[in-house]
Amino acid sequence: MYRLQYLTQTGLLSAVLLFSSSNLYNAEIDSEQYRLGKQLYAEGILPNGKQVKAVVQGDIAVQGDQLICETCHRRSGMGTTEGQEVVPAIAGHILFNPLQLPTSKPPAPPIYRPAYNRETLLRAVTQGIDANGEPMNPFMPRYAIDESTLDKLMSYLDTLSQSISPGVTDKEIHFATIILDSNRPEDNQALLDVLERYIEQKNVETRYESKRAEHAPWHKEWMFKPYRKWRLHTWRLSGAEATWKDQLQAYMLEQPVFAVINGLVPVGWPSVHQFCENNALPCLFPTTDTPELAEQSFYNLYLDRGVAQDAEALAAYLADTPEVTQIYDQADPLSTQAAERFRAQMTETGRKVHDISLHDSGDVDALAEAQPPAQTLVVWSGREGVQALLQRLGQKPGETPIIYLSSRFYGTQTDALPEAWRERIRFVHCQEMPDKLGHHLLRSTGWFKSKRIYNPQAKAIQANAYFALKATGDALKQIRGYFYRDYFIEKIEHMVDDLPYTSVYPRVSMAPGQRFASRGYYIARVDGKRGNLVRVSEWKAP
Amino acid sequence: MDNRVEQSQPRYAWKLGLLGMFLLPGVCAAWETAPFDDARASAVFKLDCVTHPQSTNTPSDRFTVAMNEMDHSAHDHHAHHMMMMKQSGYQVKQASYSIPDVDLTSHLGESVNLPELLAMDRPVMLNFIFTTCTTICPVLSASFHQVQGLLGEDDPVAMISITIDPEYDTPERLKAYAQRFEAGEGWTFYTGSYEDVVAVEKAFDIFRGSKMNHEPITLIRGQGAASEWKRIDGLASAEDIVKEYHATLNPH
Repeated sequence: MYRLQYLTQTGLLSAVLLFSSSNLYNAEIDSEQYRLGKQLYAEGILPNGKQVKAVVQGDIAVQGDQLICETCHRRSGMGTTEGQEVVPAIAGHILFNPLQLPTSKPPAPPIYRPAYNRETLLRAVTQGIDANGEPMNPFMPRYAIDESTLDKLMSYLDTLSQSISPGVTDKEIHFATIILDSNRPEDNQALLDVLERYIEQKNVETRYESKRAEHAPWHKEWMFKPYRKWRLHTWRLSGAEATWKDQLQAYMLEQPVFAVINGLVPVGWPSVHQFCENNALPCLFPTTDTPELAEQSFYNLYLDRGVAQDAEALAAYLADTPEVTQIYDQADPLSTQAAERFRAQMTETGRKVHDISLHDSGDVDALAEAQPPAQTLVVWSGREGVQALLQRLGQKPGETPIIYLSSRFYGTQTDALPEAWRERIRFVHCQEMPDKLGHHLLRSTGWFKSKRIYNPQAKAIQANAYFALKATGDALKQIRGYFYRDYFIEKIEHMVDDLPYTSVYPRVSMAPGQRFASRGYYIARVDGKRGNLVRVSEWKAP
Repeated sequence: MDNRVEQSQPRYAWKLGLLGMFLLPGVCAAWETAPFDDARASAVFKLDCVTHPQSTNTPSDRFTVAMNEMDHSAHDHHAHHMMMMKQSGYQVKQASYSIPDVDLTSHLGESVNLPELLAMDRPVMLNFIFTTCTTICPVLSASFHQVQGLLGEDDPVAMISITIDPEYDTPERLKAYAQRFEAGEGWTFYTGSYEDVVAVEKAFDIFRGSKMNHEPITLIRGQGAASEWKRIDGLASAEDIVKEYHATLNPH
């Protein structure tokens, strides 16, 4: 059997593996045993192609994808917890070794459970008796598999989380963040200020932890050894999007990182997304308006769905509106994406969308003169586009239907909107309301101010960076010394609901397989007097 | 890592260690030579847990305590009850709940008022799940499927599963989930707004802050019993659920 384990034991070879292959985990392992084992573990399909059958708690029959190994023991094989249920790790190097505190010096700690072997594992999987001879947790199904299937499963388990992920050394853990040369320099600076100061401060405050990691008492090694100093690398991308992949490869080759924290890539993240997936590299919570929406991916975690979220939100809010006219800027990729997503969502439910190009004066004039006035309008444009449009629509706002704008395009400063129009305008707003946001972000803003790095013009950029940093720190604490990227991602999926710190959203939530932390939206109107946004709907998800 | 409290490192630590090296052999020698009777010997040498002196102390207990950053609740009697409950599977109690006035949407897209739904003149079986849940919900859902099979198509029971992750679990996702667990007629999945679902969770005392903390709970209500519920905490087999169900319908 051609085990990944032997390949990655040599550092050089592992580097070659990582950078030459398109996908770390799918490459180079062509063994049939492994493939069939993975098929059972991840899909619940037996080597003969049939669905595996199992029984839980005596008589609850399950089969196939209803309850497979991977749903509970997870992709990393490192297990999980849910409520009061603990799902133990079953990655080969843990399962086939005695379970005891990991210490390097005598005295040897007590053995909690002896190493599993072929016989005891078969007994565990088929009869629910663990290596100690005790009955297992009733949630563990008893699977009907034979010995040859077990062998295949064992070869797959051997490959799970069996070597530390790249980007981690004995003393340091490396992270990167990704920014574009084409971003506004002050935005890039606002982001880097947060990341750099936070990591600098963290390393300073935990400086004694390095000593403790080195000289930990034997019985606390497992607790102190995992400490690593953080190192941040800024991956600055320039030029055409098509060249980003090579630039990222070059950065990665120069210094592999464990994960990418945040980043600022307003348009074009799908290229980065692909790179992260191909290299099994966690890319956490970037600030982007164009995330990759396909949910099958694993390594990219997002804050929200970008412009697609605005489009989906409006389509859901306008559920009872049979016909809508949308105006967008075909020269602007963001505006076009929003319009496409909106059109798709509307037509999917049998509703009509009329498209008008923002810069086609003929169309806009026709819209202004239409009798009766046009249907509900949706405008995917920033301040200048909206201003020009309102001017061309004439001075009869009372007769036009409601106009929906997106705060992602327009911003939340609405004082430039002509007063006559304010009554007719609504915003879709996918963050906490501006009047509450200051209070909501008090904790991070206070820290930025104390470090003199606060930039009110880049509020969301800085808040997102801070959120990503905190999530990274918490997840690292939870994975202890098990620096496996898959496990790291699983921990984040698991803990987002419980985070004590805030983001620009009223609430965030994730779960295994979910990739977008915030899904909700507000519909807001413009307050006539002060010109600020006031919500007219609750925070809800499309 | 970042919330660990910095411990002071006394400069005299090595001196203490040195002292210990001289003293310890003497103490050990004293223990070895002292003429203890058996009872006294066991009293001296028993490695009791400091915070819970009378508790059991197997290697596996000590491991659990150590792995939980010296959290001694594993010795806790309540925890032992929990463990026993886990082994036997489940615990049953009677409870009365007042249903909040909220509207929910089914996996078929129908909107219903929850109090009206639960006021129907049929027995009800209720649980809480979410579609991306890994460990507990698949088993709960598989058990509902099994129960449905055991009771047969003619049974009047209305089976209800309410998602505790309403922002992700749209009616479409619930529909796919219903297909995955082969839900038959009479088993409906519901979602709603976040606030409404939390209100329902709180009303049935299953709200645990985050969906990741949820517990396996099955609720059974007899025909015409307005708010009297039988609450099954833990994982019951399908046969046990059917048994409890029949006991609810025919208390005598």
